[in-house]
Amino acid sequence: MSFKRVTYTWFFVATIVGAMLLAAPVATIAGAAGVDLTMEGGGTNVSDMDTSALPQQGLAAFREFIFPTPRETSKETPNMSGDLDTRLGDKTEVVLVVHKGKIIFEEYRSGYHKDMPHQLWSIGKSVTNAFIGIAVQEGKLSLNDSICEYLETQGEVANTSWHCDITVRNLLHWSSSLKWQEWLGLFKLKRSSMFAMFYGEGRSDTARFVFNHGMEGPAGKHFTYSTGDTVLLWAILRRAYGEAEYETLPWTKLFDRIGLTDVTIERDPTGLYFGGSHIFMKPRDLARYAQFFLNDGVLPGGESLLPPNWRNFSTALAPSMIGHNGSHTHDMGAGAHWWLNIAISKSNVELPWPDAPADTFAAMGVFGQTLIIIPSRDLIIIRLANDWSREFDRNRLVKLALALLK
Amino acid sequence: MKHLALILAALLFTLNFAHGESEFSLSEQVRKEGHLENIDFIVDSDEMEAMKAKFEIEFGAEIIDIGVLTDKRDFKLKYEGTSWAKLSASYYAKEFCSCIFVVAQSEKVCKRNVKQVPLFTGLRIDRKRREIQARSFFAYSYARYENKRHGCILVE
Repeated sequence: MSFKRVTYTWFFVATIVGAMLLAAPVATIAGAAGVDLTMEGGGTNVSDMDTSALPQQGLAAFREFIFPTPRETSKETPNMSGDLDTRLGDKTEVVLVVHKGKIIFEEYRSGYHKDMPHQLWSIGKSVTNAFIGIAVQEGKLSLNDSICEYLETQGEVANTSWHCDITVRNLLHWSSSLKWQEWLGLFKLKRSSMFAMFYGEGRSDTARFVFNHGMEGPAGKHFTYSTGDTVLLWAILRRAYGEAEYETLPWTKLFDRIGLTDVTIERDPTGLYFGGSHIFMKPRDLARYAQFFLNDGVLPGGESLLPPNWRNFSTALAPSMIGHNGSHTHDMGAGAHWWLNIAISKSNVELPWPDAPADTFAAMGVFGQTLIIIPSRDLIIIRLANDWSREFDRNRLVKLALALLK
Repeated sequence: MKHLALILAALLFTLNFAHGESEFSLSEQVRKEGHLENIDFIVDSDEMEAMKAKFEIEFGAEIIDIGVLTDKRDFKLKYEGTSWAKLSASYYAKEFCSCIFVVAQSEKVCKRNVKQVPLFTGLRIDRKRREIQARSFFAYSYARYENKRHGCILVE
C-alpha cells in the first residue's frame, strides 16, 4: 500500500470520526401549526391555529422523538445528534401531522420550509395510484386490460406470450412478474434494475427498458417491488390519453383540482413521467393529496374523481403476497401501490406497526420518506427525510402521533 | 475470501470518500468541447492516479460482488451496458440538478444528499444555464433544468 493510500485511509477515518464529534444542533425553521387543509373549489382555506390544545407532554415526547435534543457527552464531543449536515443515521427534515383536515403539528429542518418542495421518491408510487383510478373512472382503461393494449411488444417481449398476460391490476400490485432488482446497495449499482433504468442503459426510453425484461413466471404470481411496474403504468396512461393530453394530465386531472401548487414531475427523454420516484411537492400539498385519498377521491362539492371503493381496493392485500413461494418476499404487505399494516402468516410477514390501528396504510420512499394515513382516526402523518440508515421507527412515529390526539 | 472482500470494500470506501472530498481542492481546469465549451469543468490534475483508482474500484467491486453478497441472495440480473463511474456521474448530475434547481436547496445540503452514492469526483454548476455536469473518474454526465413542471432531465 502506497503512502498516498494510507493517507486516504486516515483521511476517511478522520472524516467519519470528525463528523461524529463535531455534530451541532440546528434551529427550527418553521413551526406554524393548525392550518386548515379543507379544499374549497379546488383551492385551500388557510387559517392559523395554535397547538395549545394538544397535550403538552405528548407534544414534547413527539418532538423529542423526531428531532432529538443534542446530547452532551463530554467537552470534546459536545453533541452527537443535532447536526443534520454531518450526522449519519436518521435525518428528519419535515414532519406534518393532520387531524380531521387540520394541521396540528408542522416543523422543518435542513433549510426546508412550508413553501419548499421535497422530493417524495417512492411516495410518488402511491400518488400514481390515483392517476390510474382517475383513468378507470373516466373509462380510459380497465384494471383487467392487458399491457399489450397499450405497449408494443418487441425484443425479448415478442418471444413470450406471458408479457401480454400482464394487466394494469398486476402492475398496481407490483405483481407483473417481470424480472427486477430494485435497489441493492452502494456496491451493487450494476445489478440494480432501477439504477440501470434511470441512469444507465435504460435512461433513453425507460418504459421500453422495463418491458423488455424477461419474466419470473406467469403474470400476477410473483410479488416484486419495482419502480419499473410504476413506469409501465405511466406509459399506459400516456397511450390511454394520448400524447397531447398526457403532457398536462397530472395537473388537469388531479393537482389543479385538489389545489396543489408547484408540483414537479420529471421525465425521461421520451416525455414519460417518473411519477413513481421523481416527484416533488410542498409538504402541505402532500397532505392535501393524502386528505383527498382519505376521502376516497371525493371533492368537497361531492364530485368523485376515483371509482367507488377505490381506497378499499387500493388497501386490500395484493393476491401475489399470499402464499407465494418466498423467492421474492417483502417484509411488508402491499396493496395497489400502497403499503399495509397487516401480518401475513403464510409469508412470514409480521405486523409492521403494532401500535397503529389495523386500517393504517402508508406510502414510503427511499431515504425515509413516509406518508401514513389512518382513516379510523382521520389522521395523516408525513415525515420527509434524508436518512442514511434504515432504522427510523415508523411504529413509534405513529404511536406518538396518536398520543397527540388524546 | 470474505475477509479479503471486506478489506477491499473498506479500501474502496476510503478511496471514494477521498475523491469525493477532493472536489474542493482540484487544481486544474479544462474546457470540454461541444455544448459544454463555455463551461469550465474542474478535474483532478493527476490523471494517472485516477486511472489506477478506477481500475482498483472496478476490480474491487467485482470481488465484492462475488465474495460478499452472492451467498445471501440470488441476483439474477446484471447490467453491463454502463460503467460504475458513468452510473454514479449520471446519478450525481441528475439528482444534484433536481436538488439545486427544483427544490432550491443549498449546495451544502445537496452535496450531502447525493453522496449517498459513491464514486463522485467532481461537479460543475452553471446557474445561468441551469445545468449540472458531474464527473466520476473518466465518465461525464450532464443534466439540465427544463421548467417548473418537469424539473431536470439527464441529457447525457
